[in-house]
Amino acid sequence: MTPLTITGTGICPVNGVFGLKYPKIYLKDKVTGEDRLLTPKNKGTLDDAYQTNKSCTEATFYVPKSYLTLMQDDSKVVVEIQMSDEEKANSELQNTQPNYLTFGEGLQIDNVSPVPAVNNGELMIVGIGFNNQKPKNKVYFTDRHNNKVSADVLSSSSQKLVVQVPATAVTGTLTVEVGDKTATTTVEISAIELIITFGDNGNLTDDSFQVSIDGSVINESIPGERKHTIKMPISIGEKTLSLKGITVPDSLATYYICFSNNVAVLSGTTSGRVTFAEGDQFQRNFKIKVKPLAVSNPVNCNYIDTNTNAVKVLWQE
Amino acid sequence: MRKLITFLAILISFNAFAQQPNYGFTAKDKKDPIFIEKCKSFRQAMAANDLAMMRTFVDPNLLTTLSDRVDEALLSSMKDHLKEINRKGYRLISLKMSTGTRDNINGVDIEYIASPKFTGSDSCVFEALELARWKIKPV
Repeated sequence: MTPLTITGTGICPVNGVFGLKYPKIYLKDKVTGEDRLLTPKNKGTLDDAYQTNKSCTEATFYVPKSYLTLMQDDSKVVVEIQMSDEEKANSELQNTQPNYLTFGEGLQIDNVSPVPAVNNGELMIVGIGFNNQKPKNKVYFTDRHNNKVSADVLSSSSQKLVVQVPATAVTGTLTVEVGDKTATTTVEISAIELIITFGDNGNLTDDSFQVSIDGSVINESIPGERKHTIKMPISIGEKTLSLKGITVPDSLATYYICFSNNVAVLSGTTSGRVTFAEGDQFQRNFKIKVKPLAVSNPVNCNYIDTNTNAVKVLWQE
Repeated sequence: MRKLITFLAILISFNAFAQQPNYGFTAKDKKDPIFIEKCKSFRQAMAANDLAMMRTFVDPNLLTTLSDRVDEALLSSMKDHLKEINRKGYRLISLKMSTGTRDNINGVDIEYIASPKFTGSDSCVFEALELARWKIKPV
């Protein structure tokens, strides 16, 4: 019996009038043409087991030995989870990682995710031959001098490791060692970056702003600039970002600010129309948290029209 | 005379299973052949599109309180079973007692083949009621 763990969403058995109803599992070898339909009911034997985690994102079942013996070295097995005739998840059609089950021995790395990984973030390594005991898996990245850098193993099972990407790791070779066996692959690492877009979103284009993070000035816009974007390297963790008025001629600031997906805004209002006394300076502070994720352009920025990519004019002056 | 006795013995045995209710039948232990017989009976009812017979395997309380949902679930099981047995080249390979170790669950494991290179497994699951009585889980 070979345990097989799949990840996805909504893969728990469904509660029906007669109790839990388990999905069927259809295995199709594209090379040999051998098909197998498993109908697990979890009645207490391994060949019938279908176990999920609480969040229904992971399910483990067992591939029968009788089916494995029909496989060849180059077999590619499509896995289809059938909740019903209408609800099916197919590894080939849905282009999962990996698309197929393959068969191997020893220590092998099938894939790593996310791509790219980021320094200090987590990396999942999927393969075979890993050790269930964390310390028995040695994982190394490469630094910019091409030296090996050891990584902390956060969790381990025979088919999956989760490790923390070292701060000094760069794109290059990833090595996993278990006992006297070694497996390598290439891993893409990206430094953590931050993207901010900000500007004037009043009907009069007259304001300019300066951005500082933890007291250090980062960049500034020109008067009336609708959309000013900054991309910069940053470390993970909580920061204080300040948006300060440079040119705000009518003592009335109209502003917005949006962040890349790896930033959570903990406090601060990301758009506003703010009046202030003559002689004062406009300033808004934001508490943000930079997460160890690869950067994207600002997402879900409500202040930019997704069709025209133009800034929405939200405030009248 | 010897043949006749054998025949009578089988007949009596068969009648003994048939006389037991489909819901709440008793078994002397988890190896009792009645599990195989009830599994076969339930599969025959599904193969014959016999919803009324399938309902005899269901908790009578459920039949009164959740009749529509019961029928829906039974029809779904029937559809699955018909899909199984109507596969081209379908042939039942084995139907045998499961080796599960849970006290309150018993099972019958079913293996079948179909063409061109299809193998499948299914099972009947039984859940214990009180006083050595059992019911089939109809899904």
